[in-house]
Amino acid sequence: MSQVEAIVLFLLVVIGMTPMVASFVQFLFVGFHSLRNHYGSCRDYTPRVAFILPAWNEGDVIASSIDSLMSLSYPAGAWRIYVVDDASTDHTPAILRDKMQQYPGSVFHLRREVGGQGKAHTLNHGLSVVLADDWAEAVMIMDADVLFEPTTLRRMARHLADPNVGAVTAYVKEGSYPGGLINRCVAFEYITAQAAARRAQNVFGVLACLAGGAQLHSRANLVAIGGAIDTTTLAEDTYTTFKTQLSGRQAVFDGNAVVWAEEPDSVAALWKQRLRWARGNLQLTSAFRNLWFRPDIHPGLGSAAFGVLWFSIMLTPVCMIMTTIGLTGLQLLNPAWAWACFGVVQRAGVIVFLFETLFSFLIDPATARRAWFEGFTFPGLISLAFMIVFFVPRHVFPFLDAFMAVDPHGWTSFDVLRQCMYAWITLCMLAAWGVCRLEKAGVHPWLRNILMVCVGYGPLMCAISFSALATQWRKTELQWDKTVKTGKARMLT
Amino acid sequence: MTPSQTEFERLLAADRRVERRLFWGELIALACVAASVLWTLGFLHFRV
Repeated sequence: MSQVEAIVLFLLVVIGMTPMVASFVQFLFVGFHSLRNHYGSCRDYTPRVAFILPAWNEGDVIASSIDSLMSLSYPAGAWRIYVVDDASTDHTPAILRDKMQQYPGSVFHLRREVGGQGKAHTLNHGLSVVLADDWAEAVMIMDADVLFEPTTLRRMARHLADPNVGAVTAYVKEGSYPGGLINRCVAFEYITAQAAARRAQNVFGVLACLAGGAQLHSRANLVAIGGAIDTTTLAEDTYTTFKTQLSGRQAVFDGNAVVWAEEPDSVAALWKQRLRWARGNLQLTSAFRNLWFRPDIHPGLGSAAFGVLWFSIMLTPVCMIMTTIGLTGLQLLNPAWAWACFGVVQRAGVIVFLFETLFSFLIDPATARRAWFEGFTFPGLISLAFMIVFFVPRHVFPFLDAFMAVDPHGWTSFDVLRQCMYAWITLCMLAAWGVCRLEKAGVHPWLRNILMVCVGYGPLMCAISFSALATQWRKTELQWDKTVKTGKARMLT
Repeated sequence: MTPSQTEFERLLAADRRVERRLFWGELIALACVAASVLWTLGFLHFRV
């Protein structure tokens, strides 16, 4: 019986490693983007582009966004800006009036008198206007706070010369200035989640998400997917990505086309934003339930590799809990087995951490200079300390034995510490949730930052994923709730 | 930028250089990790 239990527990540990392995494999393909990319099919193509900016009380950011768009390096008169004012109650309409006077014929103000239904509804209002006449050959869907580098549109548009491409997305970089700890964590995360992961997805020929901050669609693609954005999920950008690819067109990421955006600088605001994203992805998983692991429906989205990648990201917190259960169970059956399994998990973890961190720094050296500390402390100082302890246990445990008086049932500091290590794989998520609660309770930002660095940004993301799974399971209502932008974004070039 | 290069060609050439740098960068990052793994194994071996 104990053998069966041991095998089950061992399998829990192995399955628990899936997200780490999937992430590593995805990273291995990033470099191959130099050999397999879409640049060979690019042409000097500059279609007429309509920018659609959904704006609800964006008075602090909309002017700089429009100014950055009007500084694009693109043929004169070949782009227009449609700001869809979602019944703003701040000074957004006044700013738009000024900008229409400053850039006559280029900036248009579309006002919705009844708003608050969310970004997708607002975008659809703009799309209905833009697609009603045949001026626009392509449509850029973006956020109101996003700043475009002068060459970004030209870099994105060149891919649409290939009629097989339906949509192109850019690399959205965190540009808050002055930025705080959370901003820099997001900046580093975006290297891994966008600049790296989406290059690998280009190599695979399937894209998981066109960034909502900058997605350029051909007119033909928008018409093919129904001329409107889905309003039934909270992940309208990912939904559009899937629809684009299911309609037979390619979605492409251009990592050299860069836009800048302001991201949240508090744990609570980040939690709210990411919970919405994660809930949206869960809704989408359900909406496309007939697609998963069905290559006959779509060779990319339905492939086993994409399915494993998609679900391993979504179920990372479940995998972490499985690892803890597996290791703790093995510890009760046979501590030596548990330690051996943990050894495999730790060694793999160190390799993946070192490789992904170092390579991320190479992918985006400018962001690495700004956020190297956040990169190195991504798993949290506590997890890093456990990694170090694992590799030099014989130096650490005698030292601990001298200070820890725990030996009531024959447990040494070694037993206690390794049980702590097994438990931390799950408890780090609880600790991250605790940091969020403490911040909401009003702890000083510097204390919040210290706790955040100790617990880690990675565990925070996993905690949010767990919260999304729990709230989705309970069918808790979640309304569209936009992230507040304050106008801190700059092009940090 | 050579005088005959258009903006399109200049950007494409620059972006291809970036992608090539990533290819070699990945190899270097892998080599660093492999070296650190070997060093760790050696360290553990000699420590025992």
